[in-house]
Amino acid sequence: MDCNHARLLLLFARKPADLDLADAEALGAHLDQCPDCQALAGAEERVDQALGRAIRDVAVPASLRERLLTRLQQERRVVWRYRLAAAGGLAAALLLTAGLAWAFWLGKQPEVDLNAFQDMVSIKVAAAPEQVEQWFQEQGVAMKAPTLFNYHLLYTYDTTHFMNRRVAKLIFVHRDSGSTAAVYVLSRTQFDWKSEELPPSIHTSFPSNHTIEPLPEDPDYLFLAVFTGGSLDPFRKPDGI
Amino acid sequence: MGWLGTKRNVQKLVDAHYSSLYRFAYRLSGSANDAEDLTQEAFCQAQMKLNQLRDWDRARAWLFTILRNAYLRRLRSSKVENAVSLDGVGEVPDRLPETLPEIDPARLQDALGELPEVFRTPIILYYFEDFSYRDIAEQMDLPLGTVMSRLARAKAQLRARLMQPAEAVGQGARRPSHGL
Repeated sequence: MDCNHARLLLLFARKPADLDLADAEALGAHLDQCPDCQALAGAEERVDQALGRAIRDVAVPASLRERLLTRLQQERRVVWRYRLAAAGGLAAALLLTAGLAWAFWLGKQPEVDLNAFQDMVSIKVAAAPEQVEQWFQEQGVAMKAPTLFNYHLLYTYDTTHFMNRRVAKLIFVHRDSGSTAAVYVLSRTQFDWKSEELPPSIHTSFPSNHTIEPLPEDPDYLFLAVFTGGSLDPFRKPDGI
Repeated sequence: MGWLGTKRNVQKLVDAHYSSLYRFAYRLSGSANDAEDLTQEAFCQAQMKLNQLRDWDRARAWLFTILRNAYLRRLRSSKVENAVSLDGVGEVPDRLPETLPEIDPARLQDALGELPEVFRTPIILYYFEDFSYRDIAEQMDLPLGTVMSRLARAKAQLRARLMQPAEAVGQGARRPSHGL
């Protein structure tokens, strides 16, 4: 390494860390045997040290640390308040969206499906007494299917309200005469009655007749039938069925 | 928005680096008020982004980068130009230095303030916090050769200004704005 090269290195990279290992070794070797460059390097180092000392000589305010920590604490509070407010806003927006979705879902009515209607009706036509009882059991209504009726004439059944109690209602249709009978089944678990005080016979009045009788097979139930035509007989089970 | 650093970690960061960060800010801005503002801003940002700091050994360099960026933002928004353009900074001298006279702190700060930021930052880092050329290049996102060249020119300029007689400074050079 010659003096020009050595001085170039001294100019641009004076810390060993800034030179490649080979350059650092070559520069060291040159400085060991060149008094001029060695003096120059020494002077350069002294100037660097003097400048470094001067630049580092900055008085730090005594209470700076406390002021910094106070400011940082304030910033933390502001940030947390902001985040809590943002989280609250987000939660409110989510609730609003969920509410709107729920309202939309509730407000949306299903289209009429005639197939579903036919299914609903046909499954009840001429249902057996056991099927009828099971259906009302599923609806939570205690009932016994009166066995005196002809269930081949059963058209449909459902629950209805009588004296604020849910009771079973069966509709029978006699196709030949065109008369109908609506039969309500009442349970002693819902109503009280005295059998001896029940009216003994069919009451006739326009436009329909009615009768009220205990179920022969279970005295804890009675039925109330409202029917057209002069008699309930067309709806009774024929002998032998 | 990042997660806030824990209070203990933030305090650890402040205790370890607030003095050097303030000194760096002071030498960059030339004003005690600006230096304190910059230091606070840098720590506030660091608190917000502390989860980004993967290696605590790099905390000092990370904080210095944050502070420099904050300073550059202020510099841009204040639209104040430095007193000396890039071209005005001296070339590398043919002759290596003589011994400097006693350095007057005010003249030193003026001389630093005259340097454009791209020259001032590396020389402060080099002298003040003992960063290597490679550290500075990494921090300023510059090629190593550019950093070496800027440092050599900045040193030459600084020395030339400090070697000038005091009266010549008053006549020949503008008082530096410190950028803010």
